Amino acid sequence: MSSQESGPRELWATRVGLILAMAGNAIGLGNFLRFPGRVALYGGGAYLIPYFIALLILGLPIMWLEWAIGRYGGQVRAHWLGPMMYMITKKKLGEHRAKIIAGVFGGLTLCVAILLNAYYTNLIGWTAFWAGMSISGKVAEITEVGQAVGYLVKIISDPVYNLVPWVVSLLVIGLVVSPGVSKGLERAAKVMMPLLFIFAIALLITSLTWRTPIKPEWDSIKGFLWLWTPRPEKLADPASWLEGAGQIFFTLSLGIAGIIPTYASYIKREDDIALSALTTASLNEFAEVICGGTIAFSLGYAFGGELPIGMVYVDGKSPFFLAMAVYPAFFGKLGGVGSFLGSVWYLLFWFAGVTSAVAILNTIAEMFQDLGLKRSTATFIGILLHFIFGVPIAIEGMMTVAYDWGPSTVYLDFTDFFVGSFLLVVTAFLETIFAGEFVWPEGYEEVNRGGFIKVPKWIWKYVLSIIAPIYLLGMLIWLPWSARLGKLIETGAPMEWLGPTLAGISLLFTVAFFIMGYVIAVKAVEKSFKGKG
Amino acid sequence: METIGIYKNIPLTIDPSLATVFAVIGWLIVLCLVLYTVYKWTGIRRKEVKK
Repeated sequence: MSSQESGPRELWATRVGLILAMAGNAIGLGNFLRFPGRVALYGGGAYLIPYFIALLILGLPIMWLEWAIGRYGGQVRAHWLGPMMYMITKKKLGEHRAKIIAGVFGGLTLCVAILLNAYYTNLIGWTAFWAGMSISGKVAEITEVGQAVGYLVKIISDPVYNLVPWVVSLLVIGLVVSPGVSKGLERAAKVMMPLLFIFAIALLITSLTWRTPIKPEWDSIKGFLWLWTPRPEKLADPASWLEGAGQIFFTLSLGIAGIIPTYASYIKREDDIALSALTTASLNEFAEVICGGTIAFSLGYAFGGELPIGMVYVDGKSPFFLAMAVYPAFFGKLGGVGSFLGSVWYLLFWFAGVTSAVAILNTIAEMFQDLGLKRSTATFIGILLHFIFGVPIAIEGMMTVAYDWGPSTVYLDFTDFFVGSFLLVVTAFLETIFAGEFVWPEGYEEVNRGGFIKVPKWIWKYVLSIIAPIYLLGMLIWLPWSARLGKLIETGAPMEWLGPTLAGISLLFTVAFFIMGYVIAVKAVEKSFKGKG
Repeated sequence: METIGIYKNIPLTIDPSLATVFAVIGWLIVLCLVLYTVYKWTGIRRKEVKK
């Protein structure tokens, strides 16, 4: 990046392509796996209260803010959050303070990107495993959730089954990111995203109409009703409110390493962002609340009775673990047709995951490019960092498979909780402070420039810049009292020490990545923007 | 309230009417969002075609 260059490095070719790529970035495993698990754990239908409050007060306003930050940054060739926040805060806060702010956002960007993508790509690897099982026809041997759980334990506890699909997925993601993202990804998103929606709707209808495939008492509608039965006592746990906000950030990709600002930095200066951002959020909510909130537990109860529900609700098992065991039983029961449908579903599912992971790795590539590295080298470094952090996920299950409480997913679950409920919230909190009305009043004009709808001033001035930061600060203060934290790192005898150790390793990596990201941001800013207005 | 199963001595209960109310509210909020954006894009497309 030289100081003479202006305008974005890359541009989206079409409006539809931009929206579908943004939706592809937002829609992923979180919609179909994480969301139903959160509903089950944190109050059933009552969880909708913290969830939709978070969507209206935090989700939509911060979504608009991130699109505005990104498009503004793109005009000066700032393509990731660190340099973007430097340019935004420099005028009001001065160069020195702006550099520190850039460093903090750089640190958050790198640690969120690596932590989240390392475990996320592991999960994508698991979907690749099930795609392989479907393509080979082996999925037809599975007819009940219990059998699928057996296979899943095999994946988690066998490093070969775990590592190979993960490494292959990482390489594919690297191949997409390395040559540049906007053109290849845009073309793919135009085909794959509509297919993903068609298939999700078909599965939704099937799950509500094919009600008793195994036993008459295992009625899919009862599974659906169990999920949505309100359990309001759960709302007394701060974790419900934290997880409501955390899920909104996770699902809309807000606060996640600035991937929305990075994608938005490829938008032309006069193109609409207000309606496009709202459309992306709407598509994502459709996939999450309507499709994700219906499919997992309806199919789960119809094919596994109380087992899948009990595993999440009583044992506190990861919803990723559960849902990866529910869908295979459904496809297996369909025989040969199920193998075909399973192949299509898991490949699309894998694609949805890959598009999200690509967006995160793209941000890391942009970071290292700002240090003067070639894009291919920058991408390779990103993949390497994923690998270093992600290996413990692949081997923790193997270490603990022999115990009653194993195989362990503590490292994965703790990282998921720490990123989803803490780091994303911190990032969003700082965004609302440093890019809100008080430091960057121009942001309001930025979001509405070329807009097909007008974002009201009061949303910007009061909701985004006052209510949202107070809400987010409340979440952060509440976090240490969360009932879930202690449960997350529990392992049983004779290895009680293992859970806290794995959580500690995850935290150490977090600190290391934060420092690395801070330094990169400061260096990038000094190299590219020193003296620029 | 109806018990649909027992897992490790913990009953799993449903309240069909309350569950339906909450599910319908959730679906309605999301469908309103989706229909609003579809409506807006349709209007914009129509204007662009006219031009």
